Amino acid sequence: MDTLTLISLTIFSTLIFPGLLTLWIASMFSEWWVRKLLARTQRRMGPSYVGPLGILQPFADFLKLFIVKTEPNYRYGSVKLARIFGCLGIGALTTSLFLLPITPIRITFNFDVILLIYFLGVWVAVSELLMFTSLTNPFTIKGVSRFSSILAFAEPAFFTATIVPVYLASRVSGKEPVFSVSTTVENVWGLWVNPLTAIPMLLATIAALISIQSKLMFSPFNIPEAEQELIAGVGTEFSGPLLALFNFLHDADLYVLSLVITLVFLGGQHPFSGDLILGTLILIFKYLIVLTAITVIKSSFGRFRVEQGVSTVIKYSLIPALIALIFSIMIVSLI
Amino acid sequence: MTLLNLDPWTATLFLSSVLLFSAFTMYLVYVLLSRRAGKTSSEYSEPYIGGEPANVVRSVDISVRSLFWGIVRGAGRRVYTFLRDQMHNGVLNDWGVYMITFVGLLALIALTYFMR
Repeated sequence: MDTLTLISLTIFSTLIFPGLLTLWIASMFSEWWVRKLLARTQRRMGPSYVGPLGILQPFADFLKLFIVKTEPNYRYGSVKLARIFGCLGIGALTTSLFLLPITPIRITFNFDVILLIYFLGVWVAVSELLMFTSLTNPFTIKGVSRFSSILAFAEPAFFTATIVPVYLASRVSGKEPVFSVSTTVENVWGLWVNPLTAIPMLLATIAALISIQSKLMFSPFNIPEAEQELIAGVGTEFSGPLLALFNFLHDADLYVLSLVITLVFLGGQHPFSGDLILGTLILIFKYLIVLTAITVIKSSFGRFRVEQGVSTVIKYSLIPALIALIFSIMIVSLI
Repeated sequence: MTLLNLDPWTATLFLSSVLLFSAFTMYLVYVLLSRRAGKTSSEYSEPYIGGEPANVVRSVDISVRSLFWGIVRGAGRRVYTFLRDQMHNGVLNDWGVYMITFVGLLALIALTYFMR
């Protein structure tokens, strides 16, 4: 492939699909799905004014915050820093999509899962924390301390859980590139069919779902936001375009993390990998199942206290993920 | 779909440039969109602390003495409760002896510490 094609494909992937534009549309749609479903479980209407079934409500909210509201000038904070870190977080999410098998240009090599961990875990989490702390407020600081306490366990739990299918798919199938996201997506369905590997897969999926819940500050882990108790916690000082950026970063994180679960744990387009239309439809169907599971957990619990949240992440996410990894190593040595 | 089988070093460099490019584009979109709403307010906005002025945070200053007593009381209370529950039998004389012993023990520890 010549350099010009490579550059144009990279620009297209970064800006259009699956880059910023698709990321924005998919994030807003995911927000609508979560809000609507959550409202229905609580016998409320949910978004209903803009578009059919209120599907365009998150888009309208986003544009209103950006175009109509003004950006305050904070005495004790830096708006510019908050903007920069928010944009870096979105950049990191866009970049991690390049490692998933949905881009026109896909990066793959041995152990590429480490880069996924680096961009999706380290960059996004650090960007979020720095974005929050850019606008100082006692409530924000309290929220950030809570968020970092949760993240200290949720991030290792998520990536230990992610390594389980990557390790199993790589070792059981014996295909190259090893420890690669692409190899995992192609071979992960076989792990669910095998009763031996299905046990660690189930444990890892549960662990990943719980850690996503806590990374996204969804109930019962909405401790960093703690509405009423901490006003809006980490987001107390956000308003106007900055609030829109914060919401976009949060929704994009929800979209990419759910997509990683859909692809790495549930096999993405399988069993229609060869068919573009059917493959896409099954991918969307699986994605919606993951999103629904996250929403059901969110609607079923009240808010935990900080130490309850941390111990729940350890008990139901970190420990199952570690057990699943140890099981996987034992199974591979048996096979 | 184009598959790029790169070495880890080149892939990291490539993806890092994608990160910077997409972050820069997002920043540009942010500035262009938010500019429509007018410039940033020229007046400083105070942080929201439940309606209180910002200087209320200044008074929340924990002194070294408070920290010391907080820890000593927190830890000391557990020791005191443990000893009381284990040793005290309800007789008033014993209670006096117990208290003297306890305070004496604390004095001994303090003396040992400060006489070093």
